[in-house]
Amino acid sequence: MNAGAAAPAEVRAGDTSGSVGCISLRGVTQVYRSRDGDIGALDGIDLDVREGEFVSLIGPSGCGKSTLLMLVAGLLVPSAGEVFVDGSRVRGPQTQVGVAFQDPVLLDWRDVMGNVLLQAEAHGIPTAVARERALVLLRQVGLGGFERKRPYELSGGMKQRVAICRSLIHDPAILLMDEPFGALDALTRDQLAVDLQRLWAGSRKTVIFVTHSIAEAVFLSDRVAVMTPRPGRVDRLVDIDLPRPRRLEERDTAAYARYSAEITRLFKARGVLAEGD
Amino acid sequence: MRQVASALGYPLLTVAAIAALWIVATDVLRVPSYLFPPLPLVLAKFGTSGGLLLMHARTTVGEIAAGFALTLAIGLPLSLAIASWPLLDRLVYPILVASQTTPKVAIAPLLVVWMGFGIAPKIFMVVIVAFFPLVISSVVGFKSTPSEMIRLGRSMGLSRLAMFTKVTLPHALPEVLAGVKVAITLAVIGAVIGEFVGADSGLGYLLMSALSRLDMELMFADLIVLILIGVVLFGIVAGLERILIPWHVSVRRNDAVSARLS
Repeated sequence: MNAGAAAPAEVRAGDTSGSVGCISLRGVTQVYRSRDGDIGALDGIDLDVREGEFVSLIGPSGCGKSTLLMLVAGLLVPSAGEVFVDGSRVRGPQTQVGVAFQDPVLLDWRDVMGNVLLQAEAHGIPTAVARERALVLLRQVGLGGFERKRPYELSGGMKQRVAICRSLIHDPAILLMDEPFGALDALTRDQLAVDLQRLWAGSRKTVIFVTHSIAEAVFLSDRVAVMTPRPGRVDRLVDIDLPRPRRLEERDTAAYARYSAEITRLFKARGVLAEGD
Repeated sequence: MRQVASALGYPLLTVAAIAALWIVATDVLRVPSYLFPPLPLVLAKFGTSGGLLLMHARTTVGEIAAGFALTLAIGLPLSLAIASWPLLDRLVYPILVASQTTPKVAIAPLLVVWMGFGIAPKIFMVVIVAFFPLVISSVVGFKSTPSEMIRLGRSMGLSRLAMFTKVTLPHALPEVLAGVKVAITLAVIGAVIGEFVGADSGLGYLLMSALSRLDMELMFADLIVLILIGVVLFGIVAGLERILIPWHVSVRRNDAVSARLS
């Protein structure tokens, strides 16, 4: 199942090879074939994510952010270039990582606990151990006591929290998040961002976080990869040098505003944002 | 319990109203008994011919049960195969749809020629009429696993078997059961058609023999038993739905409605 880990690490990528939780992309290009010709989604992406680092991908719709994440997860095969996870070339689904999709994709026929345990079952983790772990995770995201609820009884934010617990139940070193807060209201988003920061601080997993929100990216990230419009390239890597834990109200301070302005200027330079001046 | 009571109670009110209308109409309008027998006479028939009705009902129920079991045994694996293999889908599915334009009642006499007057042609008739709605609905169910769920399963490394038992099958169950619901009512029709054409027992046979003697009370009593069989079988499937897919919106909505009514 785990082609990435099974394949010999014949190619060493950068100086991060071998350590658990590092990700490297080398010249990754993705082209989708369609009836109206080829559509370039990604164009020669080079990116290194270090162990324990929180990196956000931000860019306009269609710039290939989600595609990039699916390539790292091994759910897509790149048209060209190479993806490495923990120093091994990705050749199939990377089941050892955790993936949280844009849509929570909960199974209606399972309760909250059952949905979280699905990942544990896939990995053959003993039920008693997994259940214990799931309870801890659910408590951490504020869903203690909701184990027996069915998905249709949950709000959008709660569903997404369940999905995040599911992506963490096998204790992955890497967490890939594809706009998991995209469909939520602003307040719920803020709350989940805070919760995610706390979860991350407690475990120091490597996270790649896809988002449309500049504020969210600055708030959560060690580095923000600003992407160009399609075909996506990494325009600039912005280091977010702000102390942690970060607090929501600090987003209005000058330090935060400087980063937000920098990213906004990058988007304006690429024509992603325009104000008619 | 209250939900069950209200689920049964309201339709029973309608049945009582129809019964009252029947009694009054046949009495007031003086409908001749050989056209439309009064309800009390029909009910009296259950007393005098109860054993006869029960005996023939046993035959018909047996045919339905055997035919429906066979329908499930062939239909469900075939549906899964059609949903899984595009080639089979292209080879078999259009033929299945086209076969539906054949008036299946017209096949019944042929079955007698080929299989005789025993139970075999009745079972076969049940399969012929119940098969199609089950397969159509089940194929849709097995085919409609959302791509996001498949992607989720792949990202976790679910095995093919686990993918089927944990994702595809439960997701398909509501559609499969919807097909079963339609098929079970058609199965009753199939058995009766089979008995019409050539039989020496069964409610369909009893109906024809009552007709030849113009025994209208027995015909109506026979009809009522057939309706009861259909309703009970449908009820069993509906009960199965509550057990198997309590999470599904169709079952949940029933809950909400009966909760509001109680």
